[in-house]
Amino acid sequence: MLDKIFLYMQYPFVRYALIVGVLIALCSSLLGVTLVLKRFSFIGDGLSHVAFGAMAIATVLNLSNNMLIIMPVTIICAVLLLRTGQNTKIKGDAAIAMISVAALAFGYLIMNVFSTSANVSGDVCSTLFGSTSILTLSKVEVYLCIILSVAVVFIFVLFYNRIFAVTFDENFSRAVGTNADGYNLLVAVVIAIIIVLAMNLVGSLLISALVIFPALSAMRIFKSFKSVTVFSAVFSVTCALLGMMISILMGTPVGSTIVAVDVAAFAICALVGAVAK
Amino acid sequence: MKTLKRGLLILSVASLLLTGCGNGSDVSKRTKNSTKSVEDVLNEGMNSSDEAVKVESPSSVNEIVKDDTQDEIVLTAADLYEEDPVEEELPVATPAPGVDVDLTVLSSTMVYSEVYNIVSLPEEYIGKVIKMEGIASTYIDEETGAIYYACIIQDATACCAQGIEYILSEDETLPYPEDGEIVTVIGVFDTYQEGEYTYCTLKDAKLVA
Amino acid sequence: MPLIKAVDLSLGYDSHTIVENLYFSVEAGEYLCIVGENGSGKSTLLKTLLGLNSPVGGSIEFFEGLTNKEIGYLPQQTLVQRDFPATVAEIVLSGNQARHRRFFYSQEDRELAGSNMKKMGIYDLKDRCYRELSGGQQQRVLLARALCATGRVLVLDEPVSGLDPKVTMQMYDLILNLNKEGITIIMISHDVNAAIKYADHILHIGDSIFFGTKDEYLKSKEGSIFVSDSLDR
Repeated sequence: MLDKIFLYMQYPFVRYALIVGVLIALCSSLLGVTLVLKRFSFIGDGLSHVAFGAMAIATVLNLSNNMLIIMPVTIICAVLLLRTGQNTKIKGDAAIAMISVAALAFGYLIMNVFSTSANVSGDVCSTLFGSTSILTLSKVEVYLCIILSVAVVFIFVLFYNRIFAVTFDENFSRAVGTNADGYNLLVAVVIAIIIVLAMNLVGSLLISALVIFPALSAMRIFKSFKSVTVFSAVFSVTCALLGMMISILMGTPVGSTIVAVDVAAFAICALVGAVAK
Repeated sequence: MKTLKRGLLILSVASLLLTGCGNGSDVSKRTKNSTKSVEDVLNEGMNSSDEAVKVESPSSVNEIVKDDTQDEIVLTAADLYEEDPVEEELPVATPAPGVDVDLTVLSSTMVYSEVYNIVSLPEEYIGKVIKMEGIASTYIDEETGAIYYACIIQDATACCAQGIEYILSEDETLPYPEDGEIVTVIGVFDTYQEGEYTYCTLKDAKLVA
Repeated sequence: MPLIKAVDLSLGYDSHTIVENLYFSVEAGEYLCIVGENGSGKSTLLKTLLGLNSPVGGSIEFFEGLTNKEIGYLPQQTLVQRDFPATVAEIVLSGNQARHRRFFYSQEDRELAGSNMKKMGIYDLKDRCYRELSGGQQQRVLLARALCATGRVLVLDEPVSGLDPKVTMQMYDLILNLNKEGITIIMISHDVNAAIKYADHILHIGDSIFFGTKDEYLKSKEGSIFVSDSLDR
């Protein structure tokens, strides 16, 4: 077992995958509590489908770097979804469902009809379920992921107190002069970045799991916002590492293995939480 | 047959032939471009029947080889290489030293990822000896009549597939395997240009039983 | 000299007006109760006062250097807060976001939060989880947070809704004590009897509008109907 791990570690793409995977897991866990409590988890899910649609367009345009299209499109949709959430002509969740399925359908359609890639099924499969995408990142993508993850962590730490205040009580924050809309916008942009990053790790259909499970598990056991946040981060990183190791050693798909580990760990946390009560 | 050896990276053949999920656009492009004449179709038929005939004897040859070298499969490979002047100095033993990239000892996720990396960054692998196990697949270019042989590797979900084309060495006594057969191939990685695309190939390849 | 003055204020959403011709003023140290039926525009008035809504017409003016950012606010509880993982100390500390634009809280912020928790009698609960507290305790936490944001004016939105009678009484006493310490109180309430008992001024909004002292209100048309109504219930 150990010598096998040692052997795999010699492959540069395995080392990159572990580094990038850990960073992505870390930043996707940070905003989990905010997303869950503000009923934003569906926005995350919807955005992941949008990211898939953007990815399809990028693939068809044959760009050397997909993120140039995926990132702005996802961020714009995040901002739009957030706005429709507040100004409800079409109810927020309906708008999200609409955008997400439309993006998914058009994404797949575009890929099938116009794709110049030789491996459509591979692209779709890897993008949706992240079977191996984390192991097949290009150098540029690796650096981009590292830079963006570090930026997300930095932003989160810097705005930690404000994000807490706005998440806990938006009206109070607004009343005492905090720019709650600005912070909501910030959260939306950061979520969009996290989703585009996480698409590499677990694929766009499984992103929500990466965002929600750490937060929900931590909330079973811990009581303060700080401890929940710290535990979420540790939980997420541990599960991602474990999941990646299992999938590399056993040959299972990366994304679903990580999520399976997340689910198992959630069950343990739920049990611990129940016993502690 | 051997005169038809040309290089091709067959990605889409794999997804089309082996998994049926998705759309092999590379293949369809080639088919669209070629105008199929009756002759071509006949040739195709000839080719496939040729193939079918050939397979019967090979399978027995295969068995014989297996029986002979049951305990020393690797030695067989080494012998084969020793006969090859280019690869003379390569020592071969488990887990196949002399092989720079041994895909047969990796898990399926790793195999797929490594092949993906080979295909996306081929220049870094040129000249390296690669050993891979996969499903044999042939593809006939209907325009030129050229036949390409590839070793296809699927990812863990068996949904996405990557393949590398191989050209058997002149000294290889075994014939090209039949479609769908599991084969282990050792060859020297190289790329070549055909039209606007760059293709990857394993040249001077040996089949390992 | 009033602290807050509303002149010909019209309230509503978008272009839809709920209340018109609203005049009232609040002086420092006063205790104003806003009463009225559901849907009469009490909450909208509150939001306008806090600067969350802009008025449809007219204006609210602030004097003596007060701005609407310096008003401490005790909102109604939201669904989000019901399962929010946060300790009492974390929540009270977040009231300090009003005091400066820095990203991290200082020692001074922590001391202020501590003293406000002591004032509200929740200091020993400071490491407890908010969602595990009783309704009355939760209100004290939010009140302590509001006190971190202001030392001058507190706006309370139905502070006793959902509390049992004993805790309701304690809550009213707590608010009255704050008022005696010099903090101006503006409170929305369903409970007209409490309004009459504690407040010195009443603003009644609804079909007709009344603004004046408690005694004037009791003699007025709106007051007599509304008070007898709620006594009957």
